[in-house]
Amino acid sequence: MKNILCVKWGDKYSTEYVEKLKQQIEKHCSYDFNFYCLTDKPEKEYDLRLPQSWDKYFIPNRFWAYRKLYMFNETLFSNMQGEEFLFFDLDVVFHNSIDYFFELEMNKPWIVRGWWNDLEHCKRNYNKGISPLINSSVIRWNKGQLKNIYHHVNDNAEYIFFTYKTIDNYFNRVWYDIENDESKKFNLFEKNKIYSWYKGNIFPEDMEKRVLRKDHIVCLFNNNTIEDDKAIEEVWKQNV
Amino acid sequence: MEAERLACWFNSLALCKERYPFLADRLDVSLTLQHAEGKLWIKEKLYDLGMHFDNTIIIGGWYCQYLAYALSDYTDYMCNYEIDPDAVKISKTFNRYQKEKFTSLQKDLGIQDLDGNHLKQGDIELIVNTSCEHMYPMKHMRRKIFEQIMDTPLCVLQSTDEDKYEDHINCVQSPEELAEQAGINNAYYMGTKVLNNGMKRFMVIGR
Repeated sequence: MKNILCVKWGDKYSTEYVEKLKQQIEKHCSYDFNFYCLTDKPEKEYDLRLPQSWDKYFIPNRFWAYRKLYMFNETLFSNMQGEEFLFFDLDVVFHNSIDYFFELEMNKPWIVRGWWNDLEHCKRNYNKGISPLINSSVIRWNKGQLKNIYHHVNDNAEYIFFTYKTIDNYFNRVWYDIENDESKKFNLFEKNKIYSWYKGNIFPEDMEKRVLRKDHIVCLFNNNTIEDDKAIEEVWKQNV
Repeated sequence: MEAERLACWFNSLALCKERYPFLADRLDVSLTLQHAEGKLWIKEKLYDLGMHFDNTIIIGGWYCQYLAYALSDYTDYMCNYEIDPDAVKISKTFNRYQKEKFTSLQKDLGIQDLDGNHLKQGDIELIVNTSCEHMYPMKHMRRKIFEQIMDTPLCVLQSTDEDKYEDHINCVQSPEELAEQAGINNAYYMGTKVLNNGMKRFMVIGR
């Protein structure tokens, strides 16, 4: 069985985001799937409670979104059966079928490489731990493929929570080789599948911001301005 | 040797600016007076201690021009463990004049082990980290290194209280705090220096 997941904690996103994501998946996925929301406040039938074991390591403004990493240890969620896993952030919009994500060669898990990033800018900021090329808004893996990341964080929690500003920085430094896209842990979703609402699509040739690209699969609204909230609501109206 | 070093540095600066134009301003910054002051302070204190080391770990040495020069008379071999792949290449370029005793590797010693080839160069007798403000307290790395070599090398550590930079994630207020963070119980030297740009640097040498 295919499992499609999201993670929700705190008050940044309302349950409406979860519902809209689920509705979009139902519209754009032709495979049978289970939908789960890993959350600190389980309410719905699809909600699974997030563990809290790493909360004690959290330092404000460091290692943002660490709760997403619990999902890499599938055994923490006994209801979650099956081999195939696909994760989406809550603030995404689908334009086309997401079947693509279940038709990939799974020799390695897949993650977003932000093609909209200027590589030289990312390299300049590499040792500052900012401007990661890797973006964890969409991740596709088979059961067990990312368990070593869970264990790596678990075994080095104090150091990792102190060192990295976000989990994307952690992925960027530890599990990705900025010198060689082909190496290390992840495959990277190809260009023109996933783009960023507030950053663009591909650097430098297609960088228009805050436009919809309806020939792509996923738009990431990975920002939280009021304007972006309005934009995502507008797209939901058209899309769901 | 001095002439060879200077020629190498001038040549390397031009070469690296050509290869990494997006790092041109960083290269300039790495050679400023305040960087020289901080590293030559180590040279002065190691001279006072009168010690010589087989093999040295440099943690986060960045482009490592002044630092590798400062250590050169006091160690037979040194390896700069850097997280930034461009810094690894640039530090090797600047240290071609002493390539028989200097290397650089992309590793984060907070979560990765020492390099096997580096360990073959001799007993690790010195750990140098002049960028403690950029990383987790050194007690952790010292413990990890101890677990690998079963020894407690002398440490030379520098940090600052300057917290206006985003990547200064672990500033300290004094050399005593730096020593405490690193678990240094036996300090041979602790001091403070105000650099040319006004930044206060703290240094601790000890075990």
